[in-house]
Amino acid sequence: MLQRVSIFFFALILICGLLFPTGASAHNVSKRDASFVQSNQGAAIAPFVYLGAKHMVTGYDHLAFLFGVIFFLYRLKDVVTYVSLFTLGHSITLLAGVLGGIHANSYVVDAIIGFSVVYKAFDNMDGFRRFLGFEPNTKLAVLIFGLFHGFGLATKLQELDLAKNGLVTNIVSFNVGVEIGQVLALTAVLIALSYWRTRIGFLRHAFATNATLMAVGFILTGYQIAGYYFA
Amino acid sequence: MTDQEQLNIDAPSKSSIAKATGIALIVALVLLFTAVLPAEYGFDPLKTGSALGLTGISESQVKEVKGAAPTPAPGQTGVYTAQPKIYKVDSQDFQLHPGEGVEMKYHLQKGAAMVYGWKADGKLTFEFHGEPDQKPTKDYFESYELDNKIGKDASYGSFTAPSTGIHGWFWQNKGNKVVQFHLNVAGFFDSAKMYVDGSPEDVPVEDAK
Repeated sequence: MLQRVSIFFFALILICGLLFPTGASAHNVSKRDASFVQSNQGAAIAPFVYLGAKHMVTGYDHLAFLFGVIFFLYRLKDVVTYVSLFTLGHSITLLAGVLGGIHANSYVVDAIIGFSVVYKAFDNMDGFRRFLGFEPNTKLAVLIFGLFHGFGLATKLQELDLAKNGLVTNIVSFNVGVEIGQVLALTAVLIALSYWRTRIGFLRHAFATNATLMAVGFILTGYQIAGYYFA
Repeated sequence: MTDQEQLNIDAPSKSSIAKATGIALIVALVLLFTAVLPAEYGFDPLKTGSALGLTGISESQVKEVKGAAPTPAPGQTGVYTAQPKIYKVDSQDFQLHPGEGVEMKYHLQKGAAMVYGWKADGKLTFEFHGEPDQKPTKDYFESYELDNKIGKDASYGSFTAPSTGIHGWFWQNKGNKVVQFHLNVAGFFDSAKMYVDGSPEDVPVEDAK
């Protein structure tokens, strides 16, 4: 019993660590990075790859959603399928948003991203099947929420007032960095989850963990809605 | 749950899902109103933020906006501040008849700087102020320097934008003689607007040679 409890707490700490790494920011590429980006002219592949990866690894809203998505995926094949759909979704809107000059309100987009965490947690708690009698297509849901996450990434890049020169190269580099960051973060989450799944308590704690994830999603949503009115 | 593997314990019941969702929502609301909103926005309806000292976080941001002291710009490393490569210069001549006013605004990114000077042959009342691009209400603005009583015939300074938006001056001639004045601005703005009788008009700005 004691062991089970200690594993549970270890896992919670690990989740919290992943969701709220020190200096994490769901909003801004940090000021110093912003200054670099603004003073940059022309193509700069490596720096933008790095900024994309950094944004993903420290962007707890994206991580919380992905944590929910892979929570019940046991096979690597499934993980790859879902993550690819998410990637497809956010790549489309990141590119279209920045290149097409579509300016979404970042608070609205981030509120929807927060809500995507609530949605996935509710799905993981089997809420849709219990209350609606069916589960909305999970692959489609990941793709659609991927589109919103991409708009979120686009608004972050647009805040930086990018130079026209080398714009496409830089956005694509940023997107590649996002994928690298995503793979790094997912690997850490998967290792922790796989270990946890071998324990007897996993399914029992799974429910509580998703309820916690849902609370995190509600907080992110409320934070952004409040930002829309206050900031 | 798409995984085909059967759960070997009872699937959660409707009531336990509803309960868990309700608890998650309540916990989130409590944390939002007691901690997140006071810390992030200074919105402190329950006074928990001031009790825990959380409102200090947002107050430090609010003070920046009031703009008594220039905010640290991005990339500031001691004595100099790196700036985006859009160095522009602009100079304008104005003439105001008694009772007339004019407004000149420059669009700057947060942290971008400009150096300015204006000199008039008579006293003008003025307000140096800014409007962020993202503003909470339509008529929202931030005042940096206001002299609406006696007025001045010149002002010189350097400015670091506290927010991304348009920043500049409104001048008014409250005297009884025509006043001519000249404005010089150099800095990292990307566009300029002039308001005559309240209606905006884009003013072309040039790159510094």
